[in-house]
Amino acid sequence: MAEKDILLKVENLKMYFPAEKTLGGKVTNWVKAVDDVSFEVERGKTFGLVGESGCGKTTTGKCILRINNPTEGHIYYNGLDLATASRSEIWNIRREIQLIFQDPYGSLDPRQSCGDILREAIVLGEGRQSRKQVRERVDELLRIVELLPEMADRYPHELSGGQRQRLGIARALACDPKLIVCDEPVSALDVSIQAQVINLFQKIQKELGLTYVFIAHDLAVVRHIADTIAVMYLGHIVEIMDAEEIFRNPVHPYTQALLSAVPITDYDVERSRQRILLEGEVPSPLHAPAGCPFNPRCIYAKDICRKEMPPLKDMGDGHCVACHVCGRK
Amino acid sequence: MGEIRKKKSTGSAARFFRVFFSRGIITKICFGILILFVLIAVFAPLICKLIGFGPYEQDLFNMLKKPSSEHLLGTDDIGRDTLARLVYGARVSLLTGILSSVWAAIVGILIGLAAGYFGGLLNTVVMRITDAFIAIPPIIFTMVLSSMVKGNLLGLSLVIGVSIMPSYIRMVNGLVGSLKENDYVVAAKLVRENDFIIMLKHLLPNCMASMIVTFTMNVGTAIMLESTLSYLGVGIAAPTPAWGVMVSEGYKYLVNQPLVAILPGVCIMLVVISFNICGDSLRDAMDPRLRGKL
Amino acid sequence: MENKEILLDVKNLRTSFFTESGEVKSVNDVSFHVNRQEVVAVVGESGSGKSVTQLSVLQLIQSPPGRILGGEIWFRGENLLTYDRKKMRTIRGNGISMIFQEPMTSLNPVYTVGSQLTEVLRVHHKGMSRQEAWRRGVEALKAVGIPDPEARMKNYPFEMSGGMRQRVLIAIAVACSSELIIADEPTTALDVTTQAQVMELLMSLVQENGTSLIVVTHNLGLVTRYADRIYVMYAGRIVESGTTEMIMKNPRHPYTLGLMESVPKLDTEKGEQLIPIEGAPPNLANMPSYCSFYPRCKFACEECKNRPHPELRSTGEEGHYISCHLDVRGGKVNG
Repeated sequence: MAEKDILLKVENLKMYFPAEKTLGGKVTNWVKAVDDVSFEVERGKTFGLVGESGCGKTTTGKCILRINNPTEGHIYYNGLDLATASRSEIWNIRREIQLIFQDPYGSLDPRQSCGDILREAIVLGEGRQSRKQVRERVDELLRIVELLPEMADRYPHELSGGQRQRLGIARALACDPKLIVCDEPVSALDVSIQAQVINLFQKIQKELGLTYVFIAHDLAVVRHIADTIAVMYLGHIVEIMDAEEIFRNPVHPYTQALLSAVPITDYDVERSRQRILLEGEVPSPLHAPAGCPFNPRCIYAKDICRKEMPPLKDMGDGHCVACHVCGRK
Repeated sequence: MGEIRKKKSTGSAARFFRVFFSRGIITKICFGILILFVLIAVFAPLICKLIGFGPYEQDLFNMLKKPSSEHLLGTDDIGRDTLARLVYGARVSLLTGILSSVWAAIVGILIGLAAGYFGGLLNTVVMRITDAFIAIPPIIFTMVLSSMVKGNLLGLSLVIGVSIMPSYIRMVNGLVGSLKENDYVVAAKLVRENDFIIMLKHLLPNCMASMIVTFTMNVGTAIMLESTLSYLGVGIAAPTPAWGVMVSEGYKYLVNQPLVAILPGVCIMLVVISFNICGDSLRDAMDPRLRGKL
Repeated sequence: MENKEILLDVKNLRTSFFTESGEVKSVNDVSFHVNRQEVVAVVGESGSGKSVTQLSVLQLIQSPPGRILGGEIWFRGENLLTYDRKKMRTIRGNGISMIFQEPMTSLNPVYTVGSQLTEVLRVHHKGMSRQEAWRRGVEALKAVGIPDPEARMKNYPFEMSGGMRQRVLIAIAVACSSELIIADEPTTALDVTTQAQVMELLMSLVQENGTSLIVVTHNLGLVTRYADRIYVMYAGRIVESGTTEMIMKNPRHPYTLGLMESVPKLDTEKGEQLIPIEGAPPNLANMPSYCSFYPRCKFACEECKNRPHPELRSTGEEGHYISCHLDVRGGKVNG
């Protein structure tokens, strides 16, 4: 196999937020939103990040964009460590990494027309251009996301959810990014519209050679769009695997439970499928359990699981699992 | 292209007025009243020429007279024409009200915007000072300061402006605090961080609707405050025809000749209410989300 | 199913909202029924009228602008639409319970869970003592699988997670011994593993207490797993109905088919394209006289546009109805 072309490499990323402070300002307790997360993203591929709310997937995305400053760890983008890069270094590559938001309502300024939103992104991202150039670029962007040119004169509140999300994509594309972090981009949309937007994501990727970090809670959506999937639980990645493996060969008990909790539409398969029902709830990240984060809910948990955090081990073919029990083959 | 653009802008202006007046007859009346008072203030000398009396002119043969063909609204205790004084009073009141609100708005919004956007220590300091200001009753605060400016209109506007400024700081600060969490602000930051552009292009316009309402209502408040101060004798100095001064001079003759005190009071009320109601309608008209619907 | 006694029978229900832009026909001639101990799913996208239909059943429509214009709602042999407010309130308490998508808003944040539970109990069981109500409340919480129910009774809603709050709402339904629970997107705000827990809980109520359940959802997987029968709604009308097996295996309405093709699946081959339904749902204030799905239908033909909106008709299979002029089978038009 040829050398992999890695665009983004995250190493031991940690993002802690202070939760309790003494009067003197000394932090006594941390929320470990992201705790020792490492992964690689290949150029031109889609990396899926799945997990339930509060698992740290969004925070990971925000660290990549440097909206949050990571507590520890490295984020190599094209060889540059974003985690420690200076403001001016970030400035230079700012427009190469863009974000698409979950909420198509809150992410567009209600007082700007759609054209203004795009024009701003173009001008700010690419510097001064002639009016004609900008206008052509707006039309081009609208065409890429399959919106009519007339949309430029509309305001966001006049658009449907799907159209807004398309506009959000167009804005992200305005400054020619290489890497796009998509934070739950389709979960606010209706089923039939969701499919349109997912297809659009795939089309754009093919046309522009983009790399995606695709964050979502919907396993089916991630499996559909991603090449590699990482499953997160309480700030840790518990399993990284090829997208095809997740249905065929999930190893970590949490991945298995997650998979069986997602109902599928095939009647015969669904009705005959064995289901794993998890007990209890995700613990609060303030009081994360010792050892493996999943141990209080895990049916296979052993003594070692309550003491030691299992490392993420490669089981071959890039399928990595962090489990004391199931990881051993 | 130019033609199309022109068409579009007139279209949105028409929509703007449609929404503005969609709140019914009351808005129209109040808007009319405001226009009327502004016209009166602007053309005060002309109107006085038509009446034949100036605001300071004393007609010593007709003191405390009821309305007559000579003095349309009667005269006060030293024979000055009430109408002429009301007309000039509109000048004083509107000017103080608008001047003080404008300067309070400009400074207050800038302070609130910066403090809200950058947060942290700056915000804490600014907000504590603002809170301290709010804790002082405005009337006492302005009374103390206005005794220093000695009935000068500009000075009085400055003082009233300072006293209403905290309301702008508070409001903008609160709005910006929540607006800056919006995803579109994050999106703007991702394109290229420039705090100044974000503040001016995204935060300010989104505060605009509430600010206009606050502004118009503050004009009302300022006029009230000016009248109160003038009534108490620390605002506009006595011979100047301010409505507050007129009430204060006229109330002694409330039994014999009530019009002298009541008319300026009615003017204050009309202007203040009109400003408030127009402010409400303006907010609706400014909101693009409502513009499409009506 | 052996037990085919009909519990709720809705006939030709019509609900409209009168807005500035005209009459919005949110529920347009909708008929459906629920048998005892049956799980019925109402599937549709936002704006399809699926929630408004259920709110209409309980007469919880905000009026104005909303109004129920006609139809019959038969429950326990009586037409609910002839009921007055007071009688309706007793039905809402001990006949039909509703569970909403966002459990936070349906619980009062300033009262403890316990006081809300006991209040509901005492309203519906006249003369019940405080202690008795408290005891029943604890029992109900235990029944819905809330650990340490005694302590939880003293919690405020915000001290609980979303899944917990949803369980409390179900506990209220249990405590009132409702015969029918209407769950409006009960799990949309929850995580998948919590969703599974809540759904299993609802299913156990159906099995053990003989409750009937209406699940309003857009999640086709959920429907496949739990529902006995399905009604598919589009633009205020039911476009297809039948047993889950019939509809999931052999959808006959182009819209149902489109929905199923547009959902990403876990078990298909990688690289397969989704087939979205093009366009957007119609504006309910301005509906065409012809089939409302016509503009988005990939099978549509000239004839569809010339004929009025199709009536529900049998597909030939017993209990399977569609409202479509065409005979779509296996993703193709026949004849």
